[in-house]
Amino acid sequence: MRKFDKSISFSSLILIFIVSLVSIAATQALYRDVEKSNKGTFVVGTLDLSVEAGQGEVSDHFEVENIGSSDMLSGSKTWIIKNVGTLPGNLSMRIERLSNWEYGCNEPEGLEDTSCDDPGQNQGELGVYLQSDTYLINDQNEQLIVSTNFFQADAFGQLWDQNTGGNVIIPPKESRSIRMDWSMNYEDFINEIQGDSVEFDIVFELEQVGNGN
Amino acid sequence: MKHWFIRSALILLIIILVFSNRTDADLSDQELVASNFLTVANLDINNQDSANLQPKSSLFQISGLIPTGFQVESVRIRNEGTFTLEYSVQPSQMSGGSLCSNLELTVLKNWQIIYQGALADFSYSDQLDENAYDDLVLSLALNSNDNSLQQGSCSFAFLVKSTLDLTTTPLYDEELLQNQVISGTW
Repeated sequence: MRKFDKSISFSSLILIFIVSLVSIAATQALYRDVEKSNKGTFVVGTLDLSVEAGQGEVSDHFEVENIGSSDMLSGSKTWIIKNVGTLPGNLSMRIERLSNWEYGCNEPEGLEDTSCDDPGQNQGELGVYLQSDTYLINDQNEQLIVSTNFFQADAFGQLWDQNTGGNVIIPPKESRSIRMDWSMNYEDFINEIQGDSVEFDIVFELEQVGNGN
Repeated sequence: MKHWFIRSALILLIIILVFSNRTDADLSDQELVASNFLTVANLDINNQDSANLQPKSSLFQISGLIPTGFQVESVRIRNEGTFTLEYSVQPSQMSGGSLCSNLELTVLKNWQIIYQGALADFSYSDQLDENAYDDLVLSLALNSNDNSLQQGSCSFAFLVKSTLDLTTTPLYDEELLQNQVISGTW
């Protein structure tokens, strides 16, 4: 009888162990929240990023017209990424909803761009020539992370992961600055891109650093 | 049986505590900087008939020009782009020899003379705001009575070229105003 009890006890332990593992795996929670900024002004803004759900911040965005005029040959925006939570987070940045807009031909563009009479999303050429350089700034240290154009959205995120090793840790209550510069080479201002636009969203994501990391 | 239950409960509690310390909860948050928009300037200049604003591609078509003779033409130069631009006007594609070098040009803008002299030496530039225009009145004359100029021919164009500010970028637009002058006999 005593042998029988031992057998039951051992089986129960194994069962409890399995149930525990399953219940632990089921507790993996994936909380996400996306906040949109309203139309901003031209002043440099800040972006407080929290791991707490539901906290949105108004942040500054690019709104540049008449690129190519004497005072519109380059520009930049700086965002302050702050971890206002209580856990360390790993920062990543990517481009989403990238569109290269073509609005049709004016006379000089029509002489060089054979496709401008077919306007619409992703019919424009500006993204090929518009360059972006994105820097991570921590105190006085400035590090170029991503240098790319605006032709393919995926390229930005891939370069970010590649050049940071996916490891930009922001401790709780600390912040990092991100600056994105845009520019164009003189020789790239060709009539083919007249009136074209680039539109995109920038996504900053802070992901909790797990205990195992 | 009671001991068995307590022992199992304790072991279960230990297991949960050990593993809960390793729980990988992927808490994350995103912030979206939306609707970033960058647009290239639109540069377009047009020559128009100052009477009806129709596109204009030629100015002087003179046949039988004689000494002291002249003709008057006009053109409206309009900025149809999205930004203030600079434009220049000067003769180009000139062919015809001595008759061309003896033609004299007078140009008025806002009824003020901005140039008076040899056709070949004319060069003018100015700035135009978005949707603005300049009306130019031009007079072409032959003041020489040199016999060698009889039954001569001169063809040329006025090249109207615009850039954003002539130095910053290679964005440009060009328009031509064609001209043909044939001298008479005297």
